Amino acid sequence: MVGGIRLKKKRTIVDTKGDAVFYTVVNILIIVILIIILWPLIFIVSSSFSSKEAVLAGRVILWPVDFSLEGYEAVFKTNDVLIGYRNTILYTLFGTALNVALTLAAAYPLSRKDLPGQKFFMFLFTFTMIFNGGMIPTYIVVSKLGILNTPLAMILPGALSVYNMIITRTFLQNSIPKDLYEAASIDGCTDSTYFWKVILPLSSPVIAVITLYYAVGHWNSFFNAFLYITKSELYPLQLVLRNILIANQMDSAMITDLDTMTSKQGLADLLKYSLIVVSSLPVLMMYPFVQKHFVKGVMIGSIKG
Amino acid sequence: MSSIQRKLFTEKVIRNICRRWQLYVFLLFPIVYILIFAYWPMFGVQIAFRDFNPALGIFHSPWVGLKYFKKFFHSYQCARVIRNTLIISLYSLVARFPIPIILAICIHVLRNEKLKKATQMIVYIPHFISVVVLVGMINQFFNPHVGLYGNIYKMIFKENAADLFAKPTSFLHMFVWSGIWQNMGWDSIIYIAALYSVSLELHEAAQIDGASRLQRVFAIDLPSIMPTIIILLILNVGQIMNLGFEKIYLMQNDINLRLSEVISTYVYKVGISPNGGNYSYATAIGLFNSVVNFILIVIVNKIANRCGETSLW
Amino acid sequence: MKRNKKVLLLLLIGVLFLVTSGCNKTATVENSAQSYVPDPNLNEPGVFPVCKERITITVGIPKDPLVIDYETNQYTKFIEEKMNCDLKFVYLPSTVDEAKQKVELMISAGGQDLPDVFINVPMSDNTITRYAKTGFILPLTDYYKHSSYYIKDMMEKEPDLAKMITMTDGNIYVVPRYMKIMQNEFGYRLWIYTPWLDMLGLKMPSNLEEFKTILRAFKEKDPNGNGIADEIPYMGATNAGEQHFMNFILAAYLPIDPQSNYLYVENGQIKAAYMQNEFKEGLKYLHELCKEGLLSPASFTTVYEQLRQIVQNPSVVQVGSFTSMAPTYLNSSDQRKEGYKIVPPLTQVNGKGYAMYSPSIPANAFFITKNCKYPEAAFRMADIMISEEATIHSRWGVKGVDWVEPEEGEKGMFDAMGYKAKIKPILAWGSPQNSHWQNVPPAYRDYSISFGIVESGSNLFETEIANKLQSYLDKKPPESITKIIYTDDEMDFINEVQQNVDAYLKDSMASFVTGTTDIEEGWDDYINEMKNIGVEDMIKMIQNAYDRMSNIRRD
Repeated sequence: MVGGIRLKKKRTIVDTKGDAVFYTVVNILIIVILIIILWPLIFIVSSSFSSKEAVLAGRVILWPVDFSLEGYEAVFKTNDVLIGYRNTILYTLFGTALNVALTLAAAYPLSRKDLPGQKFFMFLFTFTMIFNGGMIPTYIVVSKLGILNTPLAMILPGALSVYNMIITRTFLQNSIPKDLYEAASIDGCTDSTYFWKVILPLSSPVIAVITLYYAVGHWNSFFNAFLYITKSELYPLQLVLRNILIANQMDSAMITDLDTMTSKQGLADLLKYSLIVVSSLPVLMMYPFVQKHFVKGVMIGSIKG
Repeated sequence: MSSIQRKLFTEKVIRNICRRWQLYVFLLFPIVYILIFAYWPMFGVQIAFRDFNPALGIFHSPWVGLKYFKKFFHSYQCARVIRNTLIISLYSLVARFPIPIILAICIHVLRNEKLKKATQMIVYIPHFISVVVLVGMINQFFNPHVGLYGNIYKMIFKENAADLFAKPTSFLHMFVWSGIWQNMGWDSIIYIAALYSVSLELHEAAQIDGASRLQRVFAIDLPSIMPTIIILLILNVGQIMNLGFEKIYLMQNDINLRLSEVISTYVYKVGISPNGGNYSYATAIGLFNSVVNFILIVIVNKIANRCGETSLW
Repeated sequence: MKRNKKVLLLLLIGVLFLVTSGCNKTATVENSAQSYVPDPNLNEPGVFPVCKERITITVGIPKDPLVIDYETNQYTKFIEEKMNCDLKFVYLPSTVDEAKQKVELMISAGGQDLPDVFINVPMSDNTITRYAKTGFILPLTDYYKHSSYYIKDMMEKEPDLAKMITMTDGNIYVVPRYMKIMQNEFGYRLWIYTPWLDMLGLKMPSNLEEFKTILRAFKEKDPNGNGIADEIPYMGATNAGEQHFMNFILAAYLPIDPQSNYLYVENGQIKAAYMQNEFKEGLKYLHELCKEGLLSPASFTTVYEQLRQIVQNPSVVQVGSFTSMAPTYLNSSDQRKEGYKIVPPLTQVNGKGYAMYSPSIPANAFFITKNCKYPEAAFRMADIMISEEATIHSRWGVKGVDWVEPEEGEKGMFDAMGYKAKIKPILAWGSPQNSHWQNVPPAYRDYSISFGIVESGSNLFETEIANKLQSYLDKKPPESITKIIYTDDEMDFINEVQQNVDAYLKDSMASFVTGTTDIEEGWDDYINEMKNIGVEDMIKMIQNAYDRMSNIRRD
């Protein structure tokens, strides 16, 4: 009820008391969770903007102390970081495209109950999730393929994650109504056309999810680089950052040299937090775009009937 | 089956395959991929049964059969590391599995759009914190003298806080709950996405019937994501023995070592670190892990089959 | 039906197995039993540049983020000039462990992409011997004999060095980085806050009883003057140099050397410190400290990063004493920096005791792979790196730019011990630079080099270390284990037992000192368990190897 020009959206059904309690509890729960998560995150960002001494002495609690950009300076001072950024962006773009293509190419047929040998193929794929040859045999295979020290070594191994493929297949099996296929095949739709015209548009939520998973996987990956790359021009970002950070951690192994101790201390403390911010920021930007596609899934319900 | 029946059956099968030929074309590329990158390297698993010598290559290194398996099972710490791995993994699984589901449902239930979007964005950020920094943060926060925990305790209780790390079991709790803190948001993404496709009509119908929101959660939301939940549960069970090395290694100390020495850290210390890659030993233990994982996943999958729910195969 | 499908799958795998099993090539096992023929492209040892015609050598090295650019680095240029060669780099991961793993991976895959040499990949002796046996690493014994110049000098000056780098098959496969730095041999020190001693009218402790009295005074008499009994008399940590808070005390009872896994030598007999009654006495003393609240039990759970925050507590001084190499984290503006001083090694009341001592040993810093086309030239490169000029450059940089010779009257830090000043550093250590490779290539330092730094007020604690070094040197154990070379079988057994010993020892020490287990009651069980783990067999094996090496010396 309103006398003004601005109209507020009103809920058409009034909350019962039970519901009101329920919603309040959920809201409180969410806020508590947000606080538990936010506080350490703010701590990290604040530490990255604090001076080295303040961080070392433990004076940072929530907000930056002795505001300073030394952490970020030290991170970007090395040429390597910028090269790492460039490489990682390339690997992520091309890698993720390949990933999603392969995943869909496997998930679609496997989601069809009328595929002869479906269980056999599912087993074939799942088996590889549990058993693998280990580091050395995989390295030998990559070496024999001749792609060592090339960008392909960053994209091809791991191009298909069976885990993600199973998630995709589950989605296709359960969220795409079966009668759609019957209707389509009556209209003369082949398996292939069905994929391009029906499956693809309707699976944007799951495509969004696995794109996010794969992209983040590429962004955070260093293991492939550790195994297959020795040319520093091809180093991805995480390898560069990890080298800087871990090579300077104080570990329980003996450091018998005062020299080593001093050099290790300087970098690690300064860089630790700035590194996290620098390396995670781009990926964090991704989520809002991905999230838009979840909502599209809502449309599926209305196509029915 | 009589021969005529068999012939008809074979013809039917071939006809089915031809009818679905396009699906096979789709399947071709992923299959080639896993043949090359998963099954070809799998032959290397023989390293577990040989005394691997790089100069001779995998296939010509001397065959030693179960030597390294026996070495592992007879080793002094074998029982302890297996026990520790299982305890930590099971605790992790039981504690960690429900929480992303609950979180996803809570987010789904929220009516304030802004809060909903903000929560989704914030809650998965901890996933990106490297494990090295995470452990550093744990040590920092919970230190009884200089950590946030110690300072707040001193303010409230006016005395020095107890050292949380002094008991070996505190390692378990710290490890599992920090993992939950770090990953609950990330793990919930898949559930949030699945919840978006829950039919609105069902909800409207239930509301008209007088169901409370809570009832609707159990009657509509949960059942519609149940297939996702089951599949993820099966997949997680299949990873039980693969307890990651890095985080535990960083959190070990003298006091908790009796609970924190797990298979992966043990393999690292005995097989890889001191004397160079004893890959045969490491591969043997890895193979043992895989076999256990496999048995577990088959069992859970069968149970899921019996219950009539979705399953992997 | 399902079972048939599984059988089909297994058949498929089996067929693939058979098909691909033929695909593996055998790597050729080279037998390098040829006699020495000098490389015609090289000048006589001692004549520089080494190569007549310019060659290229590829170097595999862990990429240190503090080195700005290996290609244009001053040390690179220095070597290239002296060699008349071009250096190319293959980068490995920066951590030692990962670099080692990477090298082993490369070898395991057949070794086609191995660089000519590896620098700073400290693989264990046995790993190197194993790879040498299969031809991946080349023996350098002939080059040591016929082709060395600076290395020859080093071997003459250090008669014990040869047996530390010769493997059980009689060959030498590495060129070491052998730096004799006495400050590191006695690297773990006890630091105490002297203003508290002054305030309480106490002297520097010389034995364990005096130490206990002082700790009690720290605890009870509130030396930081804030009215709260928040002083922590003695504390340690779980990592870095601070982890030796127990070892420092135990050294008053028997020789303690973490580098040799707590083994020591007495009249040629190898003994395990942790099996002796004196060890028990030491643990009892520590337990008393812990019980009275003088040693903080948080020492077992606090990491170095937190300990230094406690020491640096901005409002009050809290920690009375701790073990450390040096509290370099203390800010120059922090008055505590002047306050913490080194305590000479504590003895038992009867005056007997040792200092923690770990002799300088050579590190495997350089080896040549089978892919190297000019192995003797590569060896000469390592030979150059052993020279004093290269050694100093490797740590301090370019003479005249990064360091200068001291002027008349400038004192050296170790003048009092009879060592003249040689080097006055200008380039800071620990920041990105392009003058050297962060001191990782092969090098040889006798004591005079590390002792020859000019005294300058800005040195972190080095002056204090220099002042107190003699008191630690006085307590050096008469015999010590430098390095023992084992056969593969010995190494396998020893590694396994040692790993279990480490775990059980750490657990037990923590248990006894904190009082979780009563030491009198639990000691016999502890000894028995150690025997179960195999300690006595392990010691027998080590004794064998040790005797074997000593026999070589007597030849």
